[in-house]
Amino acid sequence: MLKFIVRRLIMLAPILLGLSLVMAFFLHLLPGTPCANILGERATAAQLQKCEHNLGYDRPPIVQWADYVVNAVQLDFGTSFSGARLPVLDAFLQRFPATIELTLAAMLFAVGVGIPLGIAAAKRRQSLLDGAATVVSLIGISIPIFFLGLILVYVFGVWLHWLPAGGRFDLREFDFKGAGTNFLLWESLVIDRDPAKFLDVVGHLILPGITLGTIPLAFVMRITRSAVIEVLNEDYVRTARAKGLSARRIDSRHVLRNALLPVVTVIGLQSGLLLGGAVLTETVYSWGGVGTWLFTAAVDKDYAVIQSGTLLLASVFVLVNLAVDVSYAFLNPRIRYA
Amino acid sequence: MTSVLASAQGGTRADDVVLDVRDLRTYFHVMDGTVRAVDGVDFQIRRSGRLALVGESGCGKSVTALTIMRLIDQPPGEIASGEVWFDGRDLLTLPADQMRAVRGGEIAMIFQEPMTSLNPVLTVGDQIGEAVKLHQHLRDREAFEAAVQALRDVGVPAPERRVKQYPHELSGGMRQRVMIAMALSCRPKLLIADEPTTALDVTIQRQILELIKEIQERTGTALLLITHDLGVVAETVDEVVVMYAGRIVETGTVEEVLLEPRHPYTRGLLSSIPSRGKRGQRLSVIKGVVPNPFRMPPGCKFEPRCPYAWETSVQGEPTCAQNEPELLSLGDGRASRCWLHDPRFTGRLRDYERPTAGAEEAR
Ligand SMILES: Nc1ncnc2c1ncn2[C@@H]1O[C@H](COP(=O)(O)OP(=O)(O)O)[C@@H](O)[C@H]1O
Ligand SMILES: [Mg+2]
Repeated sequence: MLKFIVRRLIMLAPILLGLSLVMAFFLHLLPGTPCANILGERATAAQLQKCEHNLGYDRPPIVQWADYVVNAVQLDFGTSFSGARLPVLDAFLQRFPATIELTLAAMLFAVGVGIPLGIAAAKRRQSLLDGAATVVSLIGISIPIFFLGLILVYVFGVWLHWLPAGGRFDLREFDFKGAGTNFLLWESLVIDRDPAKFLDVVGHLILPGITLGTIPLAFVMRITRSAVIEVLNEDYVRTARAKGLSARRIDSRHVLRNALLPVVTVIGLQSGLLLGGAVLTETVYSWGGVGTWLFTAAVDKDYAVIQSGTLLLASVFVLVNLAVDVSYAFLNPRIRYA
Repeated sequence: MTSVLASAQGGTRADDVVLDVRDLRTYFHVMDGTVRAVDGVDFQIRRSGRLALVGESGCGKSVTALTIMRLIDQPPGEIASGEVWFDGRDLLTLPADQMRAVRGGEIAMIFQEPMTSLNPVLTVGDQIGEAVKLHQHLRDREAFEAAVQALRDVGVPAPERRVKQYPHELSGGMRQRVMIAMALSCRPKLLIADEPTTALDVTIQRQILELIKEIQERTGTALLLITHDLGVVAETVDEVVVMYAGRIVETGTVEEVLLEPRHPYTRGLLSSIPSRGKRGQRLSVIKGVVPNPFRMPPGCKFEPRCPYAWETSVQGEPTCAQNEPELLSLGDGRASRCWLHDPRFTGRLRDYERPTAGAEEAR
């Protein structure tokens, strides 16, 4: 198992190298360079050329790529041109915790609702509940996130005033200056030990979590349902019934453990996708995650952010998948990675 | 009909009988209509007795067993009538929690598919152990030891190691041994083995049959062996019940049924067993196929395939095609569901029993 993990980690290197190469050529193909943005609209051609020469954008893309790789290996991912002009790694580390917390909230919602609903639908197939679950999951998959987000904000934030309409915490009541990890759940609960603060952070996660979690919820629900239906027809479930086990025991020991195997894969895949940033949800809820960061960078042609942000997120995606494979092996004794 | 069979099997005292199935009918309501998978089945098994339920695939053997265990999903299934007396209780009316105590504890079952009948994510020991924990109220440690012992009892080598393995680490024959160990771990009064060797290699088949027989003799559990293969019953059971299209068509002791089959269907089954004496000869297989459950023949269900069926023009005389015969008692516990055994047709019966072509095949 350890060998498997190490091998997968080593495989990360060629993946990232390849990806960065593709990115380098892709950026080269785009018309213009960041200099237009840096210098503004009225820059002269000579000024632009000078800027491009100074920043090295006039070199062949392969040379630019090699240069980039050499720096990246030393954990220098370049510096953003816009905003606070932070080093990309710092900007990423500042924003990524927000994305992680949002992903956690979304997946908690997706798993916490999707799995029980999928099981219930599978056990009462063709029932009203099953039909309702199917309809809800179809809506969940097809509803535009932006639209759903705005409706939730309007109903629960603006109209009912049950939940905050945006942001990560109440700026008027609390501040997070202490540890600076930007993991607000962690800081409020463990470092500040302030339950009110923690609940405020949780409250701010609810609407964005539901918004972002709806699509994963639909996937998790449908996979759970079909997996449970399949497992219920397995011979070993009949064996378990023939042993005289109670229905509850059969479900927890024999049905769920097997049915959850494909669900784990879906959960991992969806988590990986969400960790890549959620532009729409972040926009609706003014959530400073990596989604809007990368999106803005793309609009601004902020090369360093585009290139390095993509690589960092690709690494995260690979690591999440590795974690899924490892947990899968623990759940499924038939799989033994060597 | 119940009375016919009761007298046919007369001579057994009630408390000698561990399982008494009466007029069992199990239907499945499916899209195309109703499948009468089991349609009036009666039989008894004596304490420590060994009985085989034999018939071609689809005749209702498994459904009979699952109905006894009350493992039929309802819907689509329906247990339309019948009683299953087991140790003085009718299992079909037993409260669900008491029925659970019977399942696995007093009646254990082995299934056809050892490859898929064990849970792939639990160790063999866990799967045996959960049965003994439940029925014998053992603790984890004792259950583990009971599982090791159960594996040892069924001849699994290195049981201490095997008990910690997962099903995919075992061969088919080994898994079937595990199933048997699991079934016997709670000392059931009745063991139902549904085609326990069908999915196995021929050499392994022999071993598993030997094992079942040896364990049956050692523990004194009663055995209901289900098989489509008359070839395996000879050394394994005492009595045989032959089923066709959800009904019993013949009963008798194993010697009687194998050596002197009364029903044309049994005769057909016997002539399709390969044997040393017949090597090189073409095996005769019963022509035709089992009837479509939605278009059952109105008379004898075997009539369309029966080489001995006849037509009659005599007024008031039953015909094979139009009238279904009862299960007729032939004395000595034998019975056959065939018009040949109706007193009106003794002449035809004499022709049937004369050692002609048909009978030769049976030898
Ligand atoms: N769950 C079910 N739904 C519908 N029909 C069924 C079901 N189970 C069994 N049957 C039908 O009942 C008949 C008897 O099946 P079975 O008892 O499995 O035969 P076998 O003698 O081969 O064990 C078959 O025609 C089969 O198609
Ligand atoms: Mg069967």
